[in-house]
Amino acid sequence: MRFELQVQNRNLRRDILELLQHIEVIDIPPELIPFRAQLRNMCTKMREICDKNLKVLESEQKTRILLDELMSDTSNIHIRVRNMSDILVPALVRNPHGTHLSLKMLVWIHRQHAETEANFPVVTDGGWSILPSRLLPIYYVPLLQQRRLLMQPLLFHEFGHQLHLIHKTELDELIREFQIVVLRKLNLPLASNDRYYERQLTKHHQIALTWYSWLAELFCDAVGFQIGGPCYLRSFSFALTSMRRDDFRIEQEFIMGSSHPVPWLRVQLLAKRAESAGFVDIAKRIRAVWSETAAALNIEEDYYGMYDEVLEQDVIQIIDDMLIETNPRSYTETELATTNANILFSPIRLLNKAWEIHEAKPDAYIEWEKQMISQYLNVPHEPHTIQMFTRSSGEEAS
Amino acid sequence: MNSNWLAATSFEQSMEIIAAINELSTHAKLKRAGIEDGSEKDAVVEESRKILSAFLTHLHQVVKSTNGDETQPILGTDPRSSELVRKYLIQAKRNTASEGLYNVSLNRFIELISTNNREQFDELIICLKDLRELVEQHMHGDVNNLLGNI
Repeated sequence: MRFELQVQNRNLRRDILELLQHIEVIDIPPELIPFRAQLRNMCTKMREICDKNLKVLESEQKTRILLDELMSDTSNIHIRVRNMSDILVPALVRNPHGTHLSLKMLVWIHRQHAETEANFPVVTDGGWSILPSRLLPIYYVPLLQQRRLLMQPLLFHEFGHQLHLIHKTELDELIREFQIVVLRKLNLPLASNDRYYERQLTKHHQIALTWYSWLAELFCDAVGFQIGGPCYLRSFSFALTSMRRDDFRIEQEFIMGSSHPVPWLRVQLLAKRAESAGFVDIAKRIRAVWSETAAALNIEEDYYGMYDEVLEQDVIQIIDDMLIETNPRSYTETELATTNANILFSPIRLLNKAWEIHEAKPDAYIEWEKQMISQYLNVPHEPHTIQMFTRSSGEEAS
Repeated sequence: MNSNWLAATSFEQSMEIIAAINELSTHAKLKRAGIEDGSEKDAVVEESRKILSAFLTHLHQVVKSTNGDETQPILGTDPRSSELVRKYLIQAKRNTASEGLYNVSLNRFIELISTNNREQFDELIICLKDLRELVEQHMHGDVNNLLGNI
């Protein structure tokens, strides 16, 4: 075993050094420098563990005493190297300049929150999602959206998952309170020994448990709206509409244990939130589009017991509480101004303006977007520029 | 918008816990054998103790809320963490004769985490070994989700 472990650790050490070479040779935008430094740091720590293992393995006595730990450490380095080789390093080296637009927006939003300032993000190809991490969060953005503005607000939903990770203990406690409400409001039949009761009880438990993931997603939807404002509602509604029946109703056998709420429900809850924030017209328009599509597909709302109007106020309240707990940056009035001045003043202003131009002047939009992206990417990431993008100075600029 | 965020969160936590177990276990084993561990390791061992205490305290709270019944719904806990608690409860029922994790209370284990008493190292080491096995088995699912199988 001692010989085997020596071979494994030597091989892993060599792999780590090769990963370091990949990390160092690539030309990257300045926003990725902290991510690269963090990767380098992780590789260095992994190499140190291999070195430590190899040193222990020189001694027969220590090897005998620490065999369990040596095997576990070696196995963990193995997994970490795979994680580096399969996910983390490719995310950095794949096309660092192609994903620059999303990256710049994410670096900005991470820096707006003290608790995420030191989590250095990276962006790579894939369906909208995130692998949240206290060290190296990875955001996935579809290839087609990487050089466009309209769907970028969806990044703020993914950022919500990062906030969930950071505030997990507090948010999980709030979710627990809500799950208790769900169980209470489901009107469980009186206890008895028959099979019907057992089946109902199991179903109610499944519903309460499914609400963990549903609330997590609804919270991220609300984070997206709080950060982006109306541009988020527009992107979100647009992204979720594929004119399929699944957008409106998930069949009974799939709804229990599902990872995401039914899109129609998400849009309705978000439209309600937008309405409360004063965006009545846009909320009405989006609701109408979804209702018309549902009518055309001949679908009626049915959540098979997962959701009922009786829960609506509780859902809204718990999400409000989750927002208070995590305190995501909120859009400002200045960022929603309809004038054409200072469009690059903040990403939120740029994204809301993009939707405005897209709707008002669709023919001119593509050219406008191209110019704006080019200008936005050229705004340097100097400290004073970052300062310019902060909430307080944003208000001053108005 | 997929749900790999749950696997990623669980994976990162498991890796952190296993690293902490190995640090503390190495420290206790070397001390028990009378081999000097190196004073520069003190900070790392302390940090490992903090990580493990926080994890076990949370595990203890959740386990308490189930009344030892793994079939009860575990509320306020993400699906992956609930899975870990269920595994713990099932193992605790199966391993009634075990000397380690499943035969000491979690409160006692939390006390052992901070012990410097060499006479308690045997008990600590065997509990850490069981916990490592539990977390490594649990992490297997996250590794498959994130990295796939060959």
